[in-house]
Amino acid sequence: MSTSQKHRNFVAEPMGEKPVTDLAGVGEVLGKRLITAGYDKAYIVLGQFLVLKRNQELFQEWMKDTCQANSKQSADCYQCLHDWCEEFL
Amino acid sequence: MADINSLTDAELRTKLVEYGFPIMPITGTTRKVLVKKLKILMENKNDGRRSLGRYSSEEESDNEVTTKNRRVTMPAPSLQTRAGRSSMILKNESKVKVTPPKETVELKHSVKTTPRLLSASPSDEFDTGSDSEPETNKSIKTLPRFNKSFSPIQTNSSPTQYSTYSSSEDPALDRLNEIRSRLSLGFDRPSYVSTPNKENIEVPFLSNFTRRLSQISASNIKKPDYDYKNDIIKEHDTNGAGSYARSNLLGRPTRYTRDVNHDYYTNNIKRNNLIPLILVGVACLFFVVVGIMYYGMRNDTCALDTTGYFIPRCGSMPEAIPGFNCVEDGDIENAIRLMQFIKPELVKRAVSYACNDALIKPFLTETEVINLQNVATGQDIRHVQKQLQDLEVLMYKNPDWGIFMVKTDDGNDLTEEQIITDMKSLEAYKTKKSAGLAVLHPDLPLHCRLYNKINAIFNSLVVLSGIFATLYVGNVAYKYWVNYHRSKKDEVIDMVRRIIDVLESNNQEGDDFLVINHVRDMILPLKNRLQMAKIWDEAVKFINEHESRVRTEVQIVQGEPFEVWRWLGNANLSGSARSKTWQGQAFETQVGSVNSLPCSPTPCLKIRGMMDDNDRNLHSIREAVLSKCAHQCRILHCIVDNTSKCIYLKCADQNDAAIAYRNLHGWWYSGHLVTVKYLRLERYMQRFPDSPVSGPPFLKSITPATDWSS
Repeated sequence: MSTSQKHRNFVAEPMGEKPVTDLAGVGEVLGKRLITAGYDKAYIVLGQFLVLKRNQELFQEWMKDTCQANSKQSADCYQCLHDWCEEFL
Repeated sequence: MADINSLTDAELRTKLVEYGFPIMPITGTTRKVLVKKLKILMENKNDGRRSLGRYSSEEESDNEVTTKNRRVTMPAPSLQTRAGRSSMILKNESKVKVTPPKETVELKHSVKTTPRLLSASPSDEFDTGSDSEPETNKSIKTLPRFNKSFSPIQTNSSPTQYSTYSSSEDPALDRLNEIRSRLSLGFDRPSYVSTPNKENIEVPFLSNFTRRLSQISASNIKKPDYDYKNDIIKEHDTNGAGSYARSNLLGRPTRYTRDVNHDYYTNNIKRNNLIPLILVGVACLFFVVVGIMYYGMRNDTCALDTTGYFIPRCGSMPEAIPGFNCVEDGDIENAIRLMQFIKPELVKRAVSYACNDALIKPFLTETEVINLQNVATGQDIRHVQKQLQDLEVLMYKNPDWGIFMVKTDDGNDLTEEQIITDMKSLEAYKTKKSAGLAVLHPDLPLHCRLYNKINAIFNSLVVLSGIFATLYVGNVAYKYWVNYHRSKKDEVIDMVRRIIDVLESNNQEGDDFLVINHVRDMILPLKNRLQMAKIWDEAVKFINEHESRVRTEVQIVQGEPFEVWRWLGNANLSGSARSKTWQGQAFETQVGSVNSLPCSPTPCLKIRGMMDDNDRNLHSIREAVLSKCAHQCRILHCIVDNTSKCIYLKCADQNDAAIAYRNLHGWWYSGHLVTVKYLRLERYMQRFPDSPVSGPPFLKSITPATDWSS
């Protein structure tokens, strides 16, 4: 499966202070919802991702819960964080 | 169901553990998700295992979540998903794939075994794969991979397994064949058939245990830490033992049987070890018995038998000569009495000769015997002589007495050769007074025999070690000799090299030749000169014979003829030493040319092509780079990387980098074309985190900058 440019960009370097919308699968709408829920930076989402022990099912469930992401979006986001962790964690 | 939402965090966690879910931090953000998860788990539990399996199969098959499968003991649904997927891959197998779900409805128990049989070896492979993963906690993640890698194997193996009925079209016949094949499989591998039972035992045990845990924690909610710790440990155990056990239910029974096998194996080892031990024991016993018997036999043969002597009586022989080949009847008793008297004396002497004192004679001469007997019994000497004569005759007839006549004139050391073999030669020795009686092989006491043996062993050891010592010394001497020659050769070669260096440099200075003795005086210090004279001679000889670039001739130097060396040089090699300098530009890199970018993207540069493979002088290269461009631009950091054969350059800003780029790119340096690339600042910082971020100070070259652009 080929990854999106956004995914590659995100995985290429440490996330630093990147906004949450830089995550693959998180667009403007989802980003707004996440920011409203308090997840304004990518690293906060990463924290949630880690707290859920990188469990894909639970993470996707949480995405769905928090910002009504569909399964494609949440899977992209999961893959993005997962690959980032592989690289930098 | 409604009370789940009102559970405390601790209760929720225990509940999840009870349903075989890995422990997870319950926070405000995760609680909602976990509660949902618990609901699903409880629902599935109530619905029975199949619905759970179906749930997991409804998910995206590649992203199947392990935790759900953990409770699933029946593989049929997941097989269904596999079958569905694989049917896309291989159309002609669709018949095979359709059958397993059908079986699950009708024959629940036995169907389980067949897919497990198929999965046994692939899951094992998977197991080792996941163990080698660096992160142990990846069980969740590894599942999709497993499914991916697993499904082709499954589809490949299924046609062979089901081949008996896949060819048939009739479903009834299918079922019949399938039962038949299952029966045969069951007979072939009974261990696999037994696995479902074990599994059934295992699962209730697990849930009982966790239920009890939950009860404890519910009643004792004040101090739940301990229980959770237990839970965590338990979780980790299952994690470690079989990351794939949870990741795929198919792997589970195989793991179980393997454990059983392991127990059986260890038991077997114990039992198997016993038999060889017994065998070794019996063998030892046998040898001990043989040894004892042998020892006893030796003693028996040496014991003196007092009856049954072979006695040649003079009356019964035709050519009887008394005292030579026969004995008179009346003298037999006397002779035997004499024998019994002198035998202990002989044995005593032989023993003391062998053990204690080599000075004691191991034999008795005839006169000694006569004297002894005379002293002991007071008999007449002539009488005793007669007895001795008879005894000697009897001794020859009875060699089993162990008493022999020996020659005594060869010293004390008695051997078999010194036994006098017949009466005739005995007569000759008697006249020389050199015949004696001796016991050649007395029965020595144990300590004496041991002492003798050890002595013999020691002696042979001394001889052996002597041989080895001489061999070792010879070896060392040989090595030393070889080493000495090699070092000598090396010294000569080194000397030749130095001579050639001197000649070469002298030639560069303009002189054509050098007087040989002057070269020696240049190379060898005064105090070494005598010491090295031999090596010098060898080197001179070597140069005369094997060095084509040097010619030996006689020249008149200051009015005197001297032997000189003339450096002829080598046309082929003259250009080999490339000067380490900038040699000019290969192509145009000024602004506007196609070879340089219109604007510089980063302040960092990577310079290739300036280093040879065996370049040691990194500093000179750095200096060359700096002298080329440091006077025109501000350089923060410059480093020569020996491993990548590159030079990394960091300038103050992009414009400086552009200047450096144009100054370095496309130039010749010591015969190599230098190429420059821009490097991302992040990469540069990653590689050299210590490099300065801003200046001054800026780097300057030591040598004055030359204007190369002209």
